[in-house]
Amino acid sequence: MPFPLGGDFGRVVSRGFNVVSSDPETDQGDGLVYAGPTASGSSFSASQPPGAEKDHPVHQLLESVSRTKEFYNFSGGTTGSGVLSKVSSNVSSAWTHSVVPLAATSFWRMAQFNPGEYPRLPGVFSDLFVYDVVTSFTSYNSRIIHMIDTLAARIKQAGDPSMSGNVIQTDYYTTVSGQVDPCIGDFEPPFITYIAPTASGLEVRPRDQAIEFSLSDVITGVDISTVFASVNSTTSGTFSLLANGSDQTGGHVNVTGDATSYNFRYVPPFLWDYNDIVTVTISGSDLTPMVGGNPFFCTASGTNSFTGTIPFQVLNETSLPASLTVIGDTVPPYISQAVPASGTTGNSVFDPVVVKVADDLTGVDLSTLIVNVDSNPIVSAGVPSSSETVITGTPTEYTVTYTPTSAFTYGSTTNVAVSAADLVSITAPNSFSSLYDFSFIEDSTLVIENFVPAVGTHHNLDQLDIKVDVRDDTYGVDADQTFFVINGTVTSGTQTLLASGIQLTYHPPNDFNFDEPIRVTVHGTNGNVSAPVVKEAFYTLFYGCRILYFNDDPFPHATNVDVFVRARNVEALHKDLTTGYFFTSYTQPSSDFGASIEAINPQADLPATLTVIGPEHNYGQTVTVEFSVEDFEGNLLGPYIFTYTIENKPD
Amino acid sequence: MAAVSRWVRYPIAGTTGFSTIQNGTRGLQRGTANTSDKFTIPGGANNQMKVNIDGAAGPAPYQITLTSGTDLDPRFVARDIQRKLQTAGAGVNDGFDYCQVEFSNYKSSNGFGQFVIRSGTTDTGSTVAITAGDSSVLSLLGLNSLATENGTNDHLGTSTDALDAAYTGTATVSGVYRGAFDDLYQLTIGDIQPIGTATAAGGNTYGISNAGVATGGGFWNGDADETYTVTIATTNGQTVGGGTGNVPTFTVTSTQSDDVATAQEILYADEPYYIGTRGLTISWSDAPFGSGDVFTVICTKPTTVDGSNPTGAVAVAEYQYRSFLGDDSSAVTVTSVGGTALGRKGLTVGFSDSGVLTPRDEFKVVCKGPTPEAFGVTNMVYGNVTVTTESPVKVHQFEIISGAVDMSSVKFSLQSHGTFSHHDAGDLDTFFRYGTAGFGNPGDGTSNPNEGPEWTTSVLAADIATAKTSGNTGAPIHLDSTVTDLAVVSSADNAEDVGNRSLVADFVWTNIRLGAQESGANSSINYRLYFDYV
Repeated sequence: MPFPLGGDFGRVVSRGFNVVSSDPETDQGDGLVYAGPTASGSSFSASQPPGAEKDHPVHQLLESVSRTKEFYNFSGGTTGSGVLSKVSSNVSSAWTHSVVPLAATSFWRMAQFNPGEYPRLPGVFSDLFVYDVVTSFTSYNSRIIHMIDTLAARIKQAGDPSMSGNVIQTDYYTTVSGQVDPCIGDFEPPFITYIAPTASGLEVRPRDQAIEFSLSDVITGVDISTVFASVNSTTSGTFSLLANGSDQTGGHVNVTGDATSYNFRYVPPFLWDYNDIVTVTISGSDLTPMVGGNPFFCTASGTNSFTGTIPFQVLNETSLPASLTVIGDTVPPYISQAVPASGTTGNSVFDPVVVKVADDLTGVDLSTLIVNVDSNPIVSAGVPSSSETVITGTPTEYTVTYTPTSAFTYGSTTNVAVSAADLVSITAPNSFSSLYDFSFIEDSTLVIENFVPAVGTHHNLDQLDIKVDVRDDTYGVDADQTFFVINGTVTSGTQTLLASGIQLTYHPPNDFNFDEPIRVTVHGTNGNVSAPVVKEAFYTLFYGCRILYFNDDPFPHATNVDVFVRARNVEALHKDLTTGYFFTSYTQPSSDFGASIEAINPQADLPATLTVIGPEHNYGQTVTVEFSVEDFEGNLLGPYIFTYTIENKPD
Repeated sequence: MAAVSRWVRYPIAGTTGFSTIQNGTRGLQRGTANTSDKFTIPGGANNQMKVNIDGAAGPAPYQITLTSGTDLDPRFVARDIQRKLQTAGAGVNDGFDYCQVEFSNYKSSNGFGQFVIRSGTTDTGSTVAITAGDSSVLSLLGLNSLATENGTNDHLGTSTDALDAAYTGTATVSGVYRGAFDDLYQLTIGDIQPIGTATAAGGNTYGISNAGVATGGGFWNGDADETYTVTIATTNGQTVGGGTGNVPTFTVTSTQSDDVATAQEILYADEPYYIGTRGLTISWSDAPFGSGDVFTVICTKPTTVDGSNPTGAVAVAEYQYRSFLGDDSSAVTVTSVGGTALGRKGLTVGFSDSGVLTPRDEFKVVCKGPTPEAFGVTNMVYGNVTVTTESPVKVHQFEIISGAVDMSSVKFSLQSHGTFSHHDAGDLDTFFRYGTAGFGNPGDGTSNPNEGPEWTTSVLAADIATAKTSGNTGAPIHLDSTVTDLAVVSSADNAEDVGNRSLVADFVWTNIRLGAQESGANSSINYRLYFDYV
C-alpha cells in the first residue's frame, strides 16, 4: 500500500478498456451499465450482466440521475476546445462543456465534468470524463464514455446506429461486438511501498534511527540506475546516500530486491544529533514503458519518474521551565553593632568607639560611608580622616574603629552620626542615616600623683626606681587593675598600700637602653565595682648627661668625665631634644659615647653633661675627647677638645 | 514512534523507608490474561481498580484510578499502581505501605508479561485481593483473570521454613535507605553465594560472538543444588525492545524440574526475568541473541554457616545479600550484633546473640524509595527569592511513560536564563546550581549502579554550590556530580550527564542564587533535558 508522501507518486492504472453493453430494459436507471473487472484483455465479445457493479459507489450515486434520454454531441475539431451539447429533442436545453483535447493524439477528445457543473451528477465526480472517438474509429460505431473514478477505468459505449456524428447517447445501449484494443502501457512512476520512519510529518525519532524505503513498479520495474537518495540534516548538512543506485556512504546503505521492488536501508555510522531535523529526498524512474494495443489509442509515453521525501526529527528533548519572583534589595544598610551602644551611660573614656555597618543583601557601598563623632568627621566617603580611625571588613559588614589619642572627657556625652547606602545599582540605592549618643562615666576622686623621678631630677640607672601613688579617697583602688605600662609592657611592679590607695614601685631588672626614652603609663582603676573609673597618666624619662652611669669592670668605681656644655642658640629652634645635638667626633674608635644630651630648655642655655666611658678605656690612659654641637640649621658650636687621664688601677 | 515523557517532582525533604525483617514469601495476585506490552488507559472510564492487602478492614479495599495514556509502558503502569496503592493504604498496614507491583514473567502461563501485585509483608497473613473498580481497568491490564498466592513462612518454592527455629534471636535493620526505587533485599545465611553466574554456552551468539552480558540474580534459596538451563528462541526476533511478538523468548529446564515450557518473552534489556519459580532471575543486556543460545546458572545450597560448621551463633555464621534490583554482595559477611552492611544503600543488619543460625536461614527487607509529590510537572516554581540569597532547592525526575523501551544519554542543561541579566555577566552574581544522583549514577564516587546513595533527604543549596565531577569522591559525597553555576548552552554536548535506569532518569536538584542586582517581578528560565531512546 502506498504511503502518503510529500511528493506525488500517483498510481498505477491499467489503460485496458472494459467495454460493456446494455439493454434498455435492464438499465439500472441511470443509463449507465458497468462492466466487471474481467475485460482487461484486448478483445471482448460478450456483455457483462447489467448492474454488475451496481453497488459500486459511482453507480449508486448515479442512480439518482433521471432516465430521461439525453444526447450529447461533441462539436469542434479534433484539437482545441469544443462544445458538448445536448442534441436530443426531449432535452430542453443544451448542456455545454469545453472539450479538452487529449495530449499527443488527435483521436480523442475529452470533456471533463467538473464538480457541480452537471446538476444531476454529484459534484464529487471531478474525474468523470466523456471521450469521443473520431470518425476513423466509427467502424466500431462507438461512442465511448470513459469514466474514471479513484479506483478503475470504465468505458461506456453508446451504440445507437441512428446516431451519427459525435453523439453520445446515454440512455440505452446495444450489445456491441467487435474489438477495442486496450492500450497497455506503464503510465505510472515507481512508488514507495515502505518507508521508515513513516513520513506523515515530522516523526520524533531516536538518535540511531535508520532510514529505510522500498521502491516498487509492477509494470516495467524500477530502473535502479535512476535512483537517487540524499539526506539533508540541520546539523549534519547534506550528503548523498544513493547516486545512480550506488551506495555513496561507504557501505552503510544496504540494497536488496529486484526491479519489481527494491529495498534500501541506511544505517548511519553516527548518532543523529539531538533535535536534528532530517529530510531524505528520493527520486527515480521506471524502465522503458511497454506499449501495445490499437495504435489509435496507444502511444508511447516516456519513463515515469517521481520524487519523494521522508522527513523526521530527532526531537529527544524536553523542557522544564522554571520561574521565580525576584525580591529586590529594598532594605538599606543598618548598624549591626555599636560600642558603646546607643544610649548607654558610664562608658570608659579610654575605650574606642566601634560601629559596624552591614547590609545583608547587596552590601554596603563603602564610598557612601560617613561617620562623625561629635560632628567631627572620622570617616568621609569611606576614607578614614586620620590614623585614629581604622576601617575593616567587606561590603557585607564594615567595622569602623575610632581610637582617639586623647581620652574622652569624664561625664561627657558623645554623639555618633552614621550614614551609608547599599550597592543596588539597578534601582536607586537604599540609604540610611543614624545618630546615636552615649555618655561617659563621671569623674571621681581617683588620683595619680607623686611620680618619681620628679621632673628635672637625675638618677643613676641602677638606682632608678619609678614610683607613683594611685589613690581614691572614696572607693579605694582596684589593685588588680592598677599597674604600670613601661615601654609598652604591662607590669604591676611592687604595690605598697597607702591610706586610700597604693604606691606602685618599679625597679628595672636590667638597665634601659640609652637610645630610647622611657615611656611610662600609669593605669589606675578605682574600687567602684558598679562603675569603675579608670585614669591613666603618662610620663617620659629622657636620658641626660646628668644621669650618671656606673660601669661594670674595668671601672669598678666612678671614673668619669663630667663635661658641661652650655650652648645657647637664639636663632633656631631645636626640633628634637634628642637629635638636635650630637657629637661629631671622638678619638676613641667606639661609636658609643655612652652619653646623651638633655636639654632642659631648648630655647635657653643648654647644659649638657658628657659622660664618656667605654670598655676600651684603661687605667692610667689619657683620653682626648673632641666635642662639638650642631643644630639643624647647620650651625656648629665647637669643636672643643678635652683631655683627661684615667686613674691608675687601685691596689 | 514518539516517546511520551513527563517530569515528576519529589519533596525536597522526602524520606525513604524500610520494613522490619521478614521471613517467608509474600502474598500476591497476578494477572494471567495479558498478551500485550502496551496499555492504553482511558482518561474517563475503565481506569479504576480496587485492592486489599493483608485483609485490611474497611474502608479497604481501596480504589485507585490509574494514570491515563496511550500505549503506556507496562513498567510505568506497574509503578503507577504501586505508588497509588502505597498512598491509598498509607499507614493501614505494612502490606500496603511496602507493597510492590511489577510487570514480569513471574509464573506467566502464556509467556507474556503480567502485572503482579505483592503484599509488603510475608507469612500466612500476607494476601492480595484485586477486584474491579467502579469503572474497571482490569480487563485492559489482563487482570480480569487472576492467580493468587497467599504468603507463607516458607522458602520460595519449598515448604521448609525460611527461618530455622534454632535461631531464637532477632535480626534488626537500621540506617537510612538511600535507594531511588523500591526494592527487596534478601539476606541468606551461608558461606557461599547460592546463585552462580549466568554462563553463555560456547556456541552462543549472545555473550560469545557479541558482548552481551547475562547476569544471574534473584533470591533462589532451594533445598537442593540445581542447575538451570535457559534456551533462547529467536523465531520472533533476535533483539529485545521490538515489542511483544517481535522479541526473543526463552524456555527453562532445571535439574530439579523447575522447568518453564512456555516460551517467555524477553521484552526489555537489563530487566530481571524469572527463571523457574524459585526466585532465580536473569537479566540480559541489549545484544542480539542467536537461535538456540543457551545460558546456564548453577544454584548451590549452602551447607555450612562459615565453611566448616553446620550451624553457628552470631559472629560465626556468615551471610550474603541480594536485592531484586541487583544490589548483590560480592562476598560473604560475618554476622554481628552491632550490625553489618545490608546492601550498599545505607542499611545495616544486626543479629541478637541468641540461638544459632542455620544455612539457608533467610531474612527479607522491603525498602521504599522517596514518594513523588507531583506528576506531569510543567513548571518549576521557586517562589519568592530575595536577591543575594539561595532559592529553595527543587528536585525532579524525568521519565518516559510510553513510546520507548529504553532510554540513554540523558543530559540536563540550562537552555535559557531568561530575564536574569546578571548571569555570566562577568560579575557572576547569579548562579544556577545543579546536582544529580540516582540509580544510574549514585553518589560516593562510584557512578556505578547499586554502589552508592541514590537519594538524599533535604539536599541543601550548599551541597550543590560546589562543583563536583561525576565519579569524584569529594563532597558532596551523596551526589554524583554538581555544578556551581550552569552555563546557558544550546547543545547536548555541553549539557550535564544524568544517569538513568530504563525509562526513569536520575534525580536532578536545582536552585538559583540570585545576584544582588537582579530585578523583575516574575522571571523565568528554561531547563532542557536531552535523552535518547529506543
